[in-house]
Amino acid sequence: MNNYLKTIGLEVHLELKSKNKIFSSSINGFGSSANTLINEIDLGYPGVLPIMNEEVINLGIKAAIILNCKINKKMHFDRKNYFYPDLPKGYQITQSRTPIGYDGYVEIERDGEVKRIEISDIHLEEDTAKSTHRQNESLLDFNRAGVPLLEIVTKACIDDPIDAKLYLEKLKELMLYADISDCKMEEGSMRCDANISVRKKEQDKLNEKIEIKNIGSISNVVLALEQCAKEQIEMYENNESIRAQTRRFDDKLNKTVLMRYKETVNDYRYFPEPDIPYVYLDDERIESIKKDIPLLPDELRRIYHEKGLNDISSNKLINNLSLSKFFNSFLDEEIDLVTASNLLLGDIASYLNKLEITIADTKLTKDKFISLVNKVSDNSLTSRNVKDILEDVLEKDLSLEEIIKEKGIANITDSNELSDLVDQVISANEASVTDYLNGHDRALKYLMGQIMKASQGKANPAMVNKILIEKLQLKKKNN
Amino acid sequence: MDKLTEEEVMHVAKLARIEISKEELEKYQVSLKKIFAEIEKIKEIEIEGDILISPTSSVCPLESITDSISNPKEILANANDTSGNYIKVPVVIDHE
Amino acid sequence: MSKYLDLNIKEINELLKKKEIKVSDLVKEAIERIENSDLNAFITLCKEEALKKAEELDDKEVDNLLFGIPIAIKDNIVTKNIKTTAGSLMLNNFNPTYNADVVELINEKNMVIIGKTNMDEFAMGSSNQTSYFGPVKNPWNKTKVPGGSSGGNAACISSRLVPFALGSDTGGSIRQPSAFCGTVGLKPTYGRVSRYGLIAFASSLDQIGPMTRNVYENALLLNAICKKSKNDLTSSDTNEDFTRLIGEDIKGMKIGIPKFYISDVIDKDILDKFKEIVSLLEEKGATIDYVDIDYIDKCVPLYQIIALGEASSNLARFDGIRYGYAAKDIDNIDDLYYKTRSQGFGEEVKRRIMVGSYLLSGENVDVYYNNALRIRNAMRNSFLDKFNSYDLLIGPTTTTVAYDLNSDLDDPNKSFMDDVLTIPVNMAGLPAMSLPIGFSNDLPIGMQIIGKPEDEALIYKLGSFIEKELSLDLDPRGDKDE
Repeated sequence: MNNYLKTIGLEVHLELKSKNKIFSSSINGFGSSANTLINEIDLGYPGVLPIMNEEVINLGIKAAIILNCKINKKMHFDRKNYFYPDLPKGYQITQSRTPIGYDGYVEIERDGEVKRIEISDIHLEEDTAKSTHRQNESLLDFNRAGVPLLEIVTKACIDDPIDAKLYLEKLKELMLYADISDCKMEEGSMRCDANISVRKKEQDKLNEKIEIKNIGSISNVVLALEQCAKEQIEMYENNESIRAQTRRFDDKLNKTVLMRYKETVNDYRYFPEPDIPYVYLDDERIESIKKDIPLLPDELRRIYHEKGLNDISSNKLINNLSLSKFFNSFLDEEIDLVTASNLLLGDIASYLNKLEITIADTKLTKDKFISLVNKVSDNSLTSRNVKDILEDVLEKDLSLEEIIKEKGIANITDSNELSDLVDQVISANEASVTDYLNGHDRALKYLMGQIMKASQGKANPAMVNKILIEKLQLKKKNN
Repeated sequence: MDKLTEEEVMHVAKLARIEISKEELEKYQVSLKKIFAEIEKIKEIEIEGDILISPTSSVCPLESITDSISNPKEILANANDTSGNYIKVPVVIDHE
Repeated sequence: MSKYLDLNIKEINELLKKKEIKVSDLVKEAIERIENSDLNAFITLCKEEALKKAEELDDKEVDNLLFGIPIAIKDNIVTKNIKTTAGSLMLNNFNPTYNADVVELINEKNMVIIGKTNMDEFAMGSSNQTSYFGPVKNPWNKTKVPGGSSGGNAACISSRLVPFALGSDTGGSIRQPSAFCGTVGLKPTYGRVSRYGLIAFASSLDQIGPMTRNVYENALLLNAICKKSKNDLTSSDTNEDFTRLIGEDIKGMKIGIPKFYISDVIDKDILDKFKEIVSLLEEKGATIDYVDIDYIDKCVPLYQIIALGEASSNLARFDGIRYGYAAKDIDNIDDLYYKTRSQGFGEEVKRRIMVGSYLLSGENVDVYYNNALRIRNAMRNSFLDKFNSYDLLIGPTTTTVAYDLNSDLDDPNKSFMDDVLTIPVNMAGLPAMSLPIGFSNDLPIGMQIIGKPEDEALIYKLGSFIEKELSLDLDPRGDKDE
C-alpha cells in the first residue's frame, strides 16, 4: 500500500443563489411543487432563446475573485450535446473554451502547514431537470432545469484524500461566506465528483484514472477515495489493468460500483453557443464586485484572535454562518466580544438548535444584545439569570430592561441591604471565615454561595463579592 | 469509394439517435458520402485567425431579470405522458 | 368575387379609412382565394380566428397602413394556440403556448393572421418538396417547384392569395423562392428581427424577413417587425423608417458585382437578364465594378458544416417527451428517442442531422467546424471591406429558374447548390433582397441586392428604382379571371 502514490482531482458543482435562473426569468427555488417554477425556455420549447441573468454573471465573477482565478474578460458560452431526458434541449449551455475563471487556487492548512490546491477552471452552466427513477419509468421535474451552476475543477494535484476533504471544507466555507451558494450537499446545491489514479512511487507516468460520481458528503469523499485507491492497488498487485471508468460510492457497503467505461461515454460535441453573443466583463464591474465581498473566514479568524477569542470559539463561530454574521456586526462596538461570543455559542446557540431556526428568526435586536452583553460582563446578570430570561429575550418584542423587570430579576443593589446580608452570613459561618483568614481561598467561594442563597439569588454578585472581601480584609487587619 | 461503410452510417445515426432500417441503410451510405465529399473541399483551405460564432454586432447585454409570468399547466399540456405534476418518461438505463 | 386584395396597400388603406370596405371583406376575400387555390400553400388556415379578429377590427379606428391586412406566417414561426408544425410530422400536434416576437408585433399593427404556410420540413430544403404536408406548386407553372424553404409564402404572395407574409431565411429560404415565384423577399441584417419564436434551424444564420408583392410593401412590413427584443440576445437596437429612401435617384451610386455572381454556373438567360439590369443602372448614373469576395466559392461546404452542425444541436430537443410527436409501443428511453426521431423526421432532415452530428463529433469539430468558423470570419471581413468602396453589391439570386417538381431528388447536394448565390449573405450576416427582373420561358428571374449591415433602406432605394424602371407584370393569373 505504502509504495503507491495517489493523484486526485475534484469537480464541484455549486447551485448559485440567484433570484432567477441563468437563462430564463423563472424563479430559482428549491422545494416548490414539481414543475411550478418553469417557463417555455426551461422546457426547451421550439423557438425559445436564452436570456442572460446578470446576477449569475456577477456571482461567477465573485467566485473567480475569491478563488484567486484569472478572469476571462471576453467570454462566450458553449453547447455540450447529449441525449438524456433531464436535458430539455438535448444540449447543456456551459462554458468550455472561455470559462469565467481559470488558474486559481485555494489555500488549505494542515498541521500548521499551508498548501495550495490549484484550480484549473471555474465555469458557469445550467442545471438539468431532476428525475426520480421508479421501476419502469422516470418522473421529471423541471424546476431545477436552468438553475445556475458553477463548476469548479481542480488540477489533478491532490495526493491525499484528507487534503481533498480540507479543500472541500474550505471551498464550502468560502462560497457560503461570500453568499454565492447554500452549499447543501443533502439538497444537491453542492455536488462533488472525484477522480483518482494510483501508481508505484518509482513510476512517473500517471495511470488511467477512475471517476467517482456524485459523492454524498464531504466525509464520504475521503472514504470513497481511500476505498477506490485500495481497489486500484489490489488490481495492480494482481497484475490487472485498469480501464478509464466512472464508478459510484456505496457508503453502506463501503465499496465503489462500476457505472460505465469511459470509452463508451458520450461524445459531447462541444461548439460555441450562437444564441449568446460575447459577454464582456469590464474592470469597473469586477472592481465593484471585489469591493462588496464580505469578510471571509481566514480574515475573520485573524480578527477574532485579535479580539481575544480562543481558536475553539473562533472556529465554532465560523462554522455557523448566521451566528458569525450576527457577531461580526459588533466587531466595531465597545463591548466585551469574548462574553458576546460565549453567549452566542452557549445558551443562544442551544436555543436556536433546539428550534432549528437561525438568529434572524428571533426578536434579538442589535441593541438588546449589546445590553445583554454589558449586563453579563459587569456581572449585573448571572448566568443563572441569563438562562431564566433568554426565551423572553429571543421571543418578545420587549427591551432587556423590561424583560428583567417582568421576570422579577430585580437584583439587590442596595449596598446597605447587601452589607447586612454579608454580616449575617459572616457571623453564621465563623469556621469558614477562619479558614479564609488562614489562607484557604476556597472558603470565599463558599461564603459567596451562602450569601447568594440567603438573598434567594437576587443579590448582585459583583457587589456582594466586593463587600465580602472588604469586610474580610477588615477582619484580617483587626486580628 | 463512392459510399460510406455500414459502420460509418450506423455511427452517425447513433450520434443523432436515429434508427435506420436495412432498406434505408444503403441509401444513406450513398447520400451521406456525397455530402461528405462536398464538405471535404473545406480542407483545402488552411486558415488562421479569429472564429466567427455569429455575425451579430451586439454584445451580450448584462441586465437584471424581471420575473416572468407563465402558465406551467399549459406548458405541460403538450407533453406526451404525465403523472400528476410530473412529465413521465420510460425507464432510463444509463445514468448520465 | 371582390378584388380588393389586388389593390396596393395605400389603396386598400384608403378604402378602409373611408369605410367603403371592412376588414371582414378583406379577410373573407383572402379565405375565399385560399380555399379556391390548388397550390397547397397553407398547412393551417385560421378561418375562424381570422374572421373573429376581422369583426373586432371592423369597429376599430384604422390607425396604420397595415391595419386589417391579412398576413400569412411561415409555419416555423410560433403562434399561440395556432398549431405550428415547421412542416414536420414531428410537430403536427404542437400547440404553442406563446407567440413569437414578430407575431406580437404584427398583432400590435392589427394585421390579421390568415394562416400558417407550407414550407420545407424544418426549413431544410429549397424546393418545398421535403414538407410532410406535400409540395407547393409554383403559380407560374404548376409542374414547377416554388423554391424553398418559404415556398408556401412565395406561392401565396405571387398568386395574390394575401399581400403579406413572414418567412425565414437561413441560406436563401426567403430570397430563392421569391426569385422562383416573382415576388419580393428580404433577409434583414442578422439581429434586425428578433428570432424569439422562430423554430431554429441554424441559429447563427436564421433570420425572419418580409415577403411581399413589391418593394414598398416589403419595407413597410420590415418597419413593423424590427424592434430590439429582450428575448433575443442577438437582436440589435433598431428603429428607423425603411421606406425613407424609396423614390430617390440612384445617380452616383457605387455598385459592386462579386465575380462569383456572374460565373458560368449560372444559366445564360439569367445572366443575360442580369446584364441588362447592369447596363440600365450604368445608364442611370451608377458606377459598376467587379469585385472578389474571399472564399465565396467555398460557401456551400462552409454552409453545410455550420448550418448542419448547429441544426443537429437545435433539433436534438425533439425527443417525444415534452411536446410533439412520440412513437408508440416503447420499452425504454432509447427506444423513445430512436423511434420518435426516425418516424417524426423526414429523410432530408434526418440526413442533415446525421451529417451535423458527425461534423461536431470527436476531432471533426477542429478539422471542420472550427475551421469553418475562421473561414466564415474571413469571408465576412472580405464583404465588409467591399462596403468601404461600394454602396451595394448585386447579382442574380439563383443559378436557374424554377425547375420541375420531382427532379434531382436523388442528389443530396442539390438543395444546397440551389442556394449557392444566397448562402454567402447569411454567412456574413448581411441584409439582401431578391426582386423580379424578368422571365425565362415564362418563369420569373430574380436579382439580389446586398447591403452592408443595417443598410436595408439603401437596398429598398435601389430595388424600388429597378422595379419602377422595369414595371413588370408580376401577376401569374394573367388577365383571366379565376
